[in-house]
Amino acid sequence: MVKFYLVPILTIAGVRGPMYFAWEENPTGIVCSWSMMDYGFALSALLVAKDIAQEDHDELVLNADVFTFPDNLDGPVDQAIQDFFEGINLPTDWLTPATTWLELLRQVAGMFQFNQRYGGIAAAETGELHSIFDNADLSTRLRQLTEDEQRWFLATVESFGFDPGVVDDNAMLRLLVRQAGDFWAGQPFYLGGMEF
Amino acid sequence: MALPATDSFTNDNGTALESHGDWTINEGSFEIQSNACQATDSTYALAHWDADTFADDQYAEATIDTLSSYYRIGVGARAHASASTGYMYVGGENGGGKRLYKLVAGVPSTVASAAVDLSVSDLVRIECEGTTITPILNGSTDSDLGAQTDSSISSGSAGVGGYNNGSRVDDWEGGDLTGSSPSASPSASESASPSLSESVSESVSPSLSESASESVSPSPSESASPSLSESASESVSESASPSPGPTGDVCWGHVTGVLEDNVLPFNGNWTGTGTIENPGANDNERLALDAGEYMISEMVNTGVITCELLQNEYAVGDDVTLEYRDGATAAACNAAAWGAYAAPFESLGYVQIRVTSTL
Repeated sequence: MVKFYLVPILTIAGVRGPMYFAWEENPTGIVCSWSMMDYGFALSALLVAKDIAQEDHDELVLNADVFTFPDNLDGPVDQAIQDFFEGINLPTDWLTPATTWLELLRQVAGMFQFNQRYGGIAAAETGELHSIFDNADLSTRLRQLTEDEQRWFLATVESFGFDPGVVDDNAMLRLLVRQAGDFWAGQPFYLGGMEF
Repeated sequence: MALPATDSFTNDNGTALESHGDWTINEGSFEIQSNACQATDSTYALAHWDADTFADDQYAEATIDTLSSYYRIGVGARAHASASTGYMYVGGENGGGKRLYKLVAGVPSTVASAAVDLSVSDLVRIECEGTTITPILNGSTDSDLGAQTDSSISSGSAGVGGYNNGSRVDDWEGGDLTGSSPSASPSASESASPSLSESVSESVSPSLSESASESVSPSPSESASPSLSESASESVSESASPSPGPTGDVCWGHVTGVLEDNVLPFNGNWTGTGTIENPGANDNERLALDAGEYMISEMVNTGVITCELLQNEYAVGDDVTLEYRDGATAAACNAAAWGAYAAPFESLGYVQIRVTSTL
């Protein structure tokens, strides 16, 4: 069966991968075909497991740091997700009773892509791994980031074709990250070959 | 040299890849063995062709020459000039399976994993097009791993990748996707649910500007919000084909004296960051847009016909930017860029409308 999850990222012996799933440095994890989209170098990932066994799924969802998307993505989002999502720096204040799981999934993927690009730009300059949330959370304003962090943020904005000049440095990351995710409007995401 | 670049790895056994010529090591090490290329460390390895400059949209492909246990070998793309950064599509046998790796600043991430092994003589190929990274096996998207959206690495060079030592590739080729050899069929992706492709256009924003409610602006947002009632009308529609939204003339948010074929509420048919006031309340329903906010209509199957967009504004002193996009198919419309509406236009078949606050 196919399942979408949010899972923590593990780093073992300097190698990153999804917690609870099997890879080289985490051989005791769940064995199945999976693909992950990381939140840049933040410690979360969107993961699709394409052939996870029911018993593995049942055991996986017992973990408090795992979120499972429902099979029917067309239904409305359960507003009770807010604590989990906000806890991993995914803003939820934009949700309405009409927001579907699919819209949430796409918004999450868009935000993940933004932080991925941010991490790539920062790494190319410094040779180190950085996330927007290294020293910040959703309530942090852009102007409160370090000069380097602000520059990487704006470079990320520009790399996606936006004008960095329109970004209000007084805005909270909560808003900016969500809006950055909107870059993907009308464009498909692929995760493990799944298009959404 | 001209792209595509090729290498059959013909050289003495034990020749380091960087000594063989035109290759730079990003991570680990490679050498020539039996006129093929293998990684030589028991770790992640990436090297790239350095004699040419590759476009951002690029590919690398090679033939699996030898497989040794679970040790994986394959191809790389967007490898940086000197940093340990790039994507890799590799595989092995005897449980080695297949992997899509991302290497950034020397830190590997396993992006995708499948237990299905490679075989000798398999043609492995990785394509990077925009933010889509596609592993391709023998001419078709590797459905065990699947295409992947990833924005971490946007440029670099084509190359080879590996994990551990012993497995080899031969007859490597790297080049730009534009004008290159044929790639995999685009139909290889799956859909997470039947409705997914219909919904991708509904959550959108054109800019990164701040909304008044989030900023420290002293201006109350309520006083700066334009409200409007939107109608889009065309003279006639001949099309009877299925569409994502209504077919023919449409008026949203107003019912009295409306002559259009479809009289619809904004509520449930428009989405965005703005607010639908009095949702479903006939003539009293309207859109309210604070600074930076927008709303987008459902898609309308207009048919190929001249379209005119009309709007009613109820707030004094403010205006909205009225834009549209169109396409011959719903998907083409989804993918089209927004353009400002200035005068009636010839629709390609499907139309969507966007209104954005000018504040």
